[in-house]
Amino acid sequence: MDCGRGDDSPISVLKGRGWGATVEGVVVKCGSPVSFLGDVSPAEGRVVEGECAGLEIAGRVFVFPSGKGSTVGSYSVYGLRYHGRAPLAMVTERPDPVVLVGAVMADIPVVYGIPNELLRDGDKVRVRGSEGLVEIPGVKTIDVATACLWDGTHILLLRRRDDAPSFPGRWSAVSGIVEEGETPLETAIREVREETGISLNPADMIREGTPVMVRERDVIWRVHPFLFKAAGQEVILDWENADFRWVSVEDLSGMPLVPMLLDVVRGLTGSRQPPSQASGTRSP
Amino acid sequence: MHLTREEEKALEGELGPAVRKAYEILVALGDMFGAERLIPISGAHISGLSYRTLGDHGVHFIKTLSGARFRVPTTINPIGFDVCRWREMSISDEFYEKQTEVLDIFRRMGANPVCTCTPYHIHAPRRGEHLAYAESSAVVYANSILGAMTNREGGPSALAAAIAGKTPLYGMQVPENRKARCRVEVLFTPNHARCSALGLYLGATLGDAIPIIAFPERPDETCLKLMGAAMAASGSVPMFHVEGVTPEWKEAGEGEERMAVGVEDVEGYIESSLPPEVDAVVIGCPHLSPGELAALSRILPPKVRLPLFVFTSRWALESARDAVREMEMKGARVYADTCMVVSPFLSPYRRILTNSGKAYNYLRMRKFGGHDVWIADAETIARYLS
Repeated sequence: MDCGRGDDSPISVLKGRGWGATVEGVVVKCGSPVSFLGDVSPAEGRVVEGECAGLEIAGRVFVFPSGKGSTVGSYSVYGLRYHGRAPLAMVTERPDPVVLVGAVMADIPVVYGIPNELLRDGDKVRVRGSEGLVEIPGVKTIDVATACLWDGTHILLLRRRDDAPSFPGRWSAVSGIVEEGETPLETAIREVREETGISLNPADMIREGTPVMVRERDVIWRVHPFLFKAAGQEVILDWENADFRWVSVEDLSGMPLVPMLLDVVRGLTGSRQPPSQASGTRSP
Repeated sequence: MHLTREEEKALEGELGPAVRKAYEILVALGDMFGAERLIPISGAHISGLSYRTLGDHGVHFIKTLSGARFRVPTTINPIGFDVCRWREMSISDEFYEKQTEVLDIFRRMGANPVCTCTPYHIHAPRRGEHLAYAESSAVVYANSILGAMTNREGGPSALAAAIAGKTPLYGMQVPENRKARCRVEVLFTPNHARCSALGLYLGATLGDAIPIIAFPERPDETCLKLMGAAMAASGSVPMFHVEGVTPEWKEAGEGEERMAVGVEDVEGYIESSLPPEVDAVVIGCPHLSPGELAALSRILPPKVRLPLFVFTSRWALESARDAVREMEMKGARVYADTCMVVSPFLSPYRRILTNSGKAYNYLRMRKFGGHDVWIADAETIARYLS
């Protein structure tokens, strides 16, 4: 059993892009896009309209999905600085030119491209604007490899034991922590052998997906997904999992899954429709 | 981004803090959009002039840049009043002072003092010229009808571009990004009211996808100007092509998607019958050209029975003095420098009739007065005013 790598001071580093100086402060979050022109009071340093009305952002690391609305919003960001009520830094999920320009005008460090769900209200973070980094001391990033065995229509899922240390009772693909000296691909192949008895080699890999990150308390799980071709081999479970099942992608959403599995599987098997740029009645 | 030695120096502050801040803005944007480098522009148009939207903090920011001079011909957006006739427009002395302060700063920095959303009428950019235009209706007009090249800049980024004389190379500055994504077949020949409505419909449906549009008959320039402005207001399209008409249509391709628009799709924006009375009629969003002023004055009745407000640039006003005089004699008020959407003077007029889809889009919003608005074309409006 792996007892962790014994880091004295864990730290997670989230990488996006950004502008500005390095600052340290406390996170406040808003879960929906913020219009700086309409929703924020520059004189008060507070969100005053919309879903996050009442949120104090002055002196805080303000984390939100993106801005919205008029480019005049950049002047409102400057207004926060003018009134001495500027946030310490801003961190957005999506790149947003209105927020970016406002931040440069107001000399507020800004980082974009950071999934907001990885940050929690109250996190103490370091924001390195021009490097595009958000560092979370005290939160450990653990690399995990997830192997999806795919026979063309079905994927092999294992049900985690009810006393598993994380996500008990949920269904997942074959996963395991990446150990020292291993590549995630090697982890995936080893875990498949250990948990199902199936022997794979690197040539069986169809695709490697982009890593997916999930925050759970003081851990960020960085999941490296792999799609392997399988052909109805016999499955012999080890003690870690209570059950197994070959499941079609359509049936997945009806089951209690570990977080992000649905997105990971769809990304790997190509059954997700790419989001459309515009709404409306356009024919494909 | 690759910066030249000169650009690095500017970014380090060797040309002063205002130029440095301008370059910081441009380089940060360039990085965000994956631009390889900055390119020189031949003109800029700045939005966000109204003191009402800037507030004291906006004015303060502009003052921090006021030590710099614009490196390229620069025009500015309209404000909340006519600088000569502001007393007729419910503007307080204090607001007038603050607004004038903003205009004086821009003038000192070298901007053309004419406040208009139609800079392209005063000085038409040529095909292929790189610009930094804020003001979405001007962006769409310059890109689509003139074949110039500009992104949908914000007020501050256009201001930064005007100071640096540069813009980052991305988006509409790159020919490959200007191709059509969607071919739109319009199944009817629109009058100007339907051109506005068509623009509103396409903006809402296309999002940011550039269309190439086929009309049964060649639309006139006023139709395309109204359509483009409405499209830019209701969506985030940076340009459109019209088969057989606009300068880049042959290279635009047809895109992967197809759309057909029938009259029934756009009729939702136009009431089938107008109310017997409205409180005001407004024409000139975007500002009318001298030709449009002349055309309007010809069709108006000898006396208009309701308040009629016409908006144009001071340059067009002076170029079409006879037409303007004739309209004023018929009872219209022709205002220069003014954006009817940000101006407070329209607020007492609850019910408004206009030919502009862009005005329809904004004036109905709570933050711009929450007016009831109807769209009709100028000929219908002229009969209605008789």
